[in-house]
Amino acid sequence: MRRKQEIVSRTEHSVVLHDVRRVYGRGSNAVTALDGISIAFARGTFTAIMGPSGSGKSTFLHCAAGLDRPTSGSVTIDDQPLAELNERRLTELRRERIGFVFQSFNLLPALTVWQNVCLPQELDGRRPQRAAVRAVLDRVGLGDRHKNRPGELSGGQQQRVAIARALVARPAVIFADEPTGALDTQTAADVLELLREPVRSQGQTVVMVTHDPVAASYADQVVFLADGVLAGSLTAPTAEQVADRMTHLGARSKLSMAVAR
Amino acid sequence: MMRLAVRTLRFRKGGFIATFVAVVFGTAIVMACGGLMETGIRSNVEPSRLAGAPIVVTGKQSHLRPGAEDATPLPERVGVPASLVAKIRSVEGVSAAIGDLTFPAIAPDVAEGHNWSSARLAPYRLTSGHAPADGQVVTGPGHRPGDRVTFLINGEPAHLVVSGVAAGPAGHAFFSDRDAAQLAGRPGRFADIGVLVASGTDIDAVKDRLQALDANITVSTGVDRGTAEHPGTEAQRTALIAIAGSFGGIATMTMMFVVASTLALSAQHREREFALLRGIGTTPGQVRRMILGESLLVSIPAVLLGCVPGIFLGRFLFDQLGSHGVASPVVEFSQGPIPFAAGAGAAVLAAIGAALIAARKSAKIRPLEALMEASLQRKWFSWVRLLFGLLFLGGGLALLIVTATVMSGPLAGATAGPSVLCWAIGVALLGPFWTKAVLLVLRWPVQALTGVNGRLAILNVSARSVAMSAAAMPVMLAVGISTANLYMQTTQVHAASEAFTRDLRADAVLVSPAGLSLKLLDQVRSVPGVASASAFVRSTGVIDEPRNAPFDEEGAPLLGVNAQGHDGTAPVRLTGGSLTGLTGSTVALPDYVASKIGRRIGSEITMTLGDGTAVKLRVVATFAAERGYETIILPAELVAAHTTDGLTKQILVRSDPGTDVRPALTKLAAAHPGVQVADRDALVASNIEDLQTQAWINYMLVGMLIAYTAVSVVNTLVSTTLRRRREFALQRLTGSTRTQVLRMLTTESTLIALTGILLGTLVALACLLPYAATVSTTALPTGPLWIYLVIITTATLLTFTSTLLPATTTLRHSPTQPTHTD
Repeated sequence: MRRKQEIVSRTEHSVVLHDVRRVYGRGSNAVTALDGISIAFARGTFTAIMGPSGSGKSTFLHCAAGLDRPTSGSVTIDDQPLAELNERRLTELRRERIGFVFQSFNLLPALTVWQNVCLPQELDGRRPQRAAVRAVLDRVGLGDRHKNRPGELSGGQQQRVAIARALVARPAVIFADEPTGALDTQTAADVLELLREPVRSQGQTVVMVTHDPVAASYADQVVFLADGVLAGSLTAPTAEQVADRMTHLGARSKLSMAVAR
Repeated sequence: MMRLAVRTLRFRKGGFIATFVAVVFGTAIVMACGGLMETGIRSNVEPSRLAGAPIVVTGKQSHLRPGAEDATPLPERVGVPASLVAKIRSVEGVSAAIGDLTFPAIAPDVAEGHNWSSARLAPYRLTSGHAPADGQVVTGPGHRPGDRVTFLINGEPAHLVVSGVAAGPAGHAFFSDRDAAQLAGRPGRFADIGVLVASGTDIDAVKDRLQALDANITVSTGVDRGTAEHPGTEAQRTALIAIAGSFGGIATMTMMFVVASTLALSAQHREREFALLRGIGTTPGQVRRMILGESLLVSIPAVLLGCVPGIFLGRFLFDQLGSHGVASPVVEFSQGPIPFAAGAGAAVLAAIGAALIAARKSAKIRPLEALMEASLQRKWFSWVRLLFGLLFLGGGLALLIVTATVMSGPLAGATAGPSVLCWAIGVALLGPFWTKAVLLVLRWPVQALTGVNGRLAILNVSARSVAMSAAAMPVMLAVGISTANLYMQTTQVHAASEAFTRDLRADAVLVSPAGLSLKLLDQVRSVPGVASASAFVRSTGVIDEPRNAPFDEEGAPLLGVNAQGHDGTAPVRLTGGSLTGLTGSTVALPDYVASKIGRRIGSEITMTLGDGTAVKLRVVATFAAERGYETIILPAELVAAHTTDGLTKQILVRSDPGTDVRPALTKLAAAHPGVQVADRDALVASNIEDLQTQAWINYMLVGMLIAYTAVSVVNTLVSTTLRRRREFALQRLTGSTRTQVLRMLTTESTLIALTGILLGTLVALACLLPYAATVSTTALPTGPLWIYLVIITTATLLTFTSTLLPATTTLRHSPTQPTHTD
């Protein structure tokens, strides 16, 4: 059974979570953020994770990306189970196979755009491939700003640099945590297009946490989270569908809280 | 990682300025101390009057007490027996050996007199006139043959005729050999012997053969010959080495602490950056290497820059020590490559050590923890920290107990000094705990006094008690270290002068640097109204037998006074026997010493005096003395005869009750050139001046330490304030006016300053109370209050300016303006 799953994942899935639980704190203060989640993200897909505040979507992303270790259950990236890696190996795996785009504070203020994009490769002890870096920067429309420092760029531009940095290493999967959270509608649309484009053209896998139905509508599928468990999904969603589902989730969440009382 | 470190540094110069400054200071101070130490160890005195003799033979300026491990330096010139001259002449390779006599002979431009035959050793050359016959003298240019010159020799004026003028080192006059032998007053001994060899002789071989002649002589060549001209340098040399060593050690420790705190602070303030680096795939090892790389990049140029003031600081300190009589001014300052290496090495090691400490935590955190922790309060508690904190506090407590129970008198400083460092570091490590404790106490009065802003400030510092403690700890360190060290000095000086004046019964004192003759003493005694008068001479000696005398290898202070009755001037309270029989080979001992060595009145002890002469002495009296300030009392003639210059420089006078003898004494002094009359206060003052000299060095060194900790205070506060830009902007957006923000910061600064001062004062008291109890009669430290006021005012001002100035600059911008650098 297990063997079969591995074979399946090698061929189709970039990220596999199996019965992942994450509990913060101990004893009576314990808070269960994730309560047994199993899900697999296929190669070349763009998935949005949605849920009301406190539903555990950030924890989900951190566990899936190897930034946080689950209390129980397993996470596998590109066939490599994360649990058996020590801190250094885990970091190296993140460097090689995972790209990140955070909501804010994405770039090192001391480095120029070019240096920021090259950084993961340099950390890996590799010589940056100039042509690839230039191509990626052109693709995000910042080819002419590569000498600027992050402080001299707008929020949208900074986010595009972060995407360029995530793309240049050609990782197996890109995780994005509210990448459009701090951006206006038009800029957000540009950034989302940039995230979607490599999924189409290069078979990249992208997993994005968001609370914005419009942003979620750019994804191939939307997975809903509520109270630390999966609460259904939508394929080829529209913003209206997502918003509608979110409203229900919010209501259900409130209801369950009322019942608990 | 080095490239990343370089780029970060180039961008974040500001954050590293404090580290840079601290390393520059530290390098300079350690290097200066290294220079002082090297100077002390080498003790290079350029030979001048004996420069013409390739080899100089002197007596051994130290004495090994039987059964002791370390030799005691002898402060007075030991000299060599005249019979040695013939033996030296017969040594192979020696072409001539000339005995040199040296005695004080005071005249304008002249300080020392010598025998004419020793003039060859410089060599001096007659430019006019001829060699001196009896009653004649050869001087430097400034006189002409035929002039009459009056010299003050042994307190008596001597009139001589200039027979010739010689060119050579200044300050010396040459008498006929017979006159010189008589004036030098030490028959059968020379101060030193100059040895001449034929050119081309192997000097080292001759030196070895000379050394084989006698174990009690020192044979010097090259630059070592200089010490033969200035025998006192040996004792000063030990003092210099001790000062340089202890201060260098403290400076290195403080540098480590300051550099570690500045680096840790900058690492802590960049936690988000490290979090991001970890998030995008930087391994913990790479983060560690990056922090290490940054600190090396900062410290290496800082070390290079620090070498420049290091050279001057060492020389400056040495000049100051020289002019205050601590170091011998004739010694040449030498700062070779070793102090450079030591200063640079200590600074780089301090930076590396500090970086490793700073990097440990930043590298270990997982990226997510870092992302969260960056915005929350940083967890401060760790078992390692608690362990070290308790260890240091325990060390402080142990030293406190040792200071209070085991140590006696002036020695207490040896344990009290380190104890304050232990206390301070212990408190700093457990800072947040102490800060919270103090805040609990301060909370209510502040809230009551300052209203809304005060409440906000209290909320702020309570929520951020770790950050608050980080700000208050440097203040605590500065206040604690400076208060403890400065008041240790004043307490010590006060206690020592108390011990001196308590028993001082002189009403007036006659002083002359050229010496006071016995004849003058008789004249003083016959002045109407004078109850008694006594010479007063100081030196240092060693009790050889019995062997268990309670003095260390520095020897015992000797005091020479004349035989006297109960109305005498000797500064002692007799407990047995009397000083009427204090003549010839006799001694009076403090009770403690007498009981320790099991000697009573009538029994004998063996002592070695300051010039290395061994004497058997009969105990004639015992007296009470403050523990730690014991002095041995001998007949004045005995002490004076065994000093370098053989002079009595002070006469203590006690008057009949109700009479003022000073006018009569002043009249008497007027007839004797060079003699001055001073009252009791002047005597006390001159004693205090001696003590102040030692204290002065400590003031200077402590001052540098304080400046150093101030760097840390300013750095911590300025960078912490600048880091809170966003918070200030937010407050203003939510309706606080600029003034309100500033007022809140003022309250915060007040709390920080109060906490730091309170804790610092407690730390200082933990060291001062047992120290004062040991060195003096009360547990309360003595000293002017203004020192403490200056310390706390400076601490408060530093806290306020380094918080409010950067805050004002920050608040000048509009709150909506984004800050990119965060």
